[in-house]
Amino acid sequence: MKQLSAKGLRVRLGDRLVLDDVSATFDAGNVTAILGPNGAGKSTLLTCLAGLLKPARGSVKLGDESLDTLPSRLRAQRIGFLPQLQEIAWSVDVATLVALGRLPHRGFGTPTVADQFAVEQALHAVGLTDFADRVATSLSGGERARALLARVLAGEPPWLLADEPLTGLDVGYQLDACKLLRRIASAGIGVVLTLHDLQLAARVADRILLLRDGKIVADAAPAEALTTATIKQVYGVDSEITTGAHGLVIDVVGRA
Amino acid sequence: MKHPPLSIVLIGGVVLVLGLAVLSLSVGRIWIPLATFLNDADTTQRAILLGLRVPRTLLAMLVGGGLALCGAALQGYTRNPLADPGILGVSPMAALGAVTTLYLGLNTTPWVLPAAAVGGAMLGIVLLLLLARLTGGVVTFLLAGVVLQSLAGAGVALALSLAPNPWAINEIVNWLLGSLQDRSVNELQLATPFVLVGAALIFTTRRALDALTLGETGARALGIELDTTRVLLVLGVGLVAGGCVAVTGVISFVGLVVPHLVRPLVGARPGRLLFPSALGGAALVLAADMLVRLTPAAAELRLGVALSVLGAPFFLLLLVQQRRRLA
Repeated sequence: MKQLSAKGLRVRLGDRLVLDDVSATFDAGNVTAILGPNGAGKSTLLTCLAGLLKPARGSVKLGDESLDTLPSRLRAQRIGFLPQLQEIAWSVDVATLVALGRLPHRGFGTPTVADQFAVEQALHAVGLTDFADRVATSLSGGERARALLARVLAGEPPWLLADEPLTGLDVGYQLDACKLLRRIASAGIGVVLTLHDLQLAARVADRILLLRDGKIVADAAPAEALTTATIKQVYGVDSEITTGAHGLVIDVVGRA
Repeated sequence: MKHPPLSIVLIGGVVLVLGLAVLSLSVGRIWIPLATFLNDADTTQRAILLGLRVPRTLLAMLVGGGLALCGAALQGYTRNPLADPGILGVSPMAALGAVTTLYLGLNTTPWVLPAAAVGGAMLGIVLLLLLARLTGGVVTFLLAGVVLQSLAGAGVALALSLAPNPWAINEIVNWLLGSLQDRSVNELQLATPFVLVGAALIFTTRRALDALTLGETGARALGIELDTTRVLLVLGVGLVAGGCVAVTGVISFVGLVVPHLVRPLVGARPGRLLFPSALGGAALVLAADMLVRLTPAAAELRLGVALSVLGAPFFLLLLVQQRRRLA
């Protein structure tokens, strides 16, 4: 399970080709950010990687196993997926919400000590230990995003796939979340994200996958993948890139 | 948000249901003192007790528990606090199935009517899911329910207007009002297998209903096969709602009201809500049925009518509460 690999993915939604022959390999212990303009196919690629969307052609493999043939419960144990839409349908308390992440590991019985421990660890990791008894639907946007991330972490998956986990967070929370994602990756978990913010992506990711119109334009470390040329090609904007004390500084100057 | 331990709530629920059941045996136009349960002195009272009160009490528990279970499951699946087998058109479709057999005079054996009701209920949920599937919002589900209710209402009206004789009209109308009056062991025997098998199917969807708290994508990410869940719920709710409607007619609002009363006690997690809701539904219908028996009127007030009178304002209240979410 050291690698999650997509080979020749092709996805059609309606009459639009959303992914066109996409191949990429993701390594455990790394943070990979998938970038690209709206409609480039970022979310679609991530959903395919999570095994939630079956591509028309191509396949996704976790280690040597194809996601197609992996039973959905095993898949859910191995790949934690955080959807973009932060849906919480009922006013359950935060601990109950996070405990839902244990479902792939649990039968019908009461939660085991291991289940409870995993939930506590997950709450601790996102800094919501004191919020365990709060009603999840009454949380602020940032707290809600962290609670839902804790839900995924509670499943202790070796892979974490998150669809725009930083959208809607303020600058402080974004930095906190980046730090947390780095820490998760350094524990050996493979992290794959979709992002909109180039600057944050450069800061958090080991590797960047640039998509445009369902095709990969660049697939490399941030400094190589994010150049004025690739940014112009993918987003149609001019930019100035310098290296600052904290990594790349990407200044988008205007439409090309 | 702390709740009392689930075991306490369940024990309390069972005690409440058993207490109401014992009371239900004794309450009515003719009061039967509790002492009669033990000695067999008065044969008339004994006949009333065994022939009428016992089946009626058991049916009230079965139907109340079944309908509340359906309501809790449908609310969990649709993530819609306004869901109810009656409001979403499932029970009316079951009634249409039953009325069709009455109209066509097909009831040569007792199993035809419940089977038709179950078939109607299942068709109702399948249509509901087909109508609401595209967007599946709260409003869409309610509108789909309105469509189904109209459809079922039109079918029943058609059967009434074409009814061959006044006797058939009388039978159909009686049906629609929903009642537990004069039900015997026969009805109990008919409904019980459907309700129990359906309830067992509904209980198997507990994990899926819990996971759906995170929406459909969230549930699938947790390894839930939603297609399987859908099939189990169509069969389960169809069997329970159809079985209930077959012996009592349409009783609305039990499925809507009970989960809301139970949530403050056990929390809002949908899977956890199922069994306590069934207990609550049994208690509610037992209590309501005793009230209608005691209403001072020439004819007994219909249970379905009484529960609608109680349930409609509750529905209105929920709608007002939900207004912001619906807008």
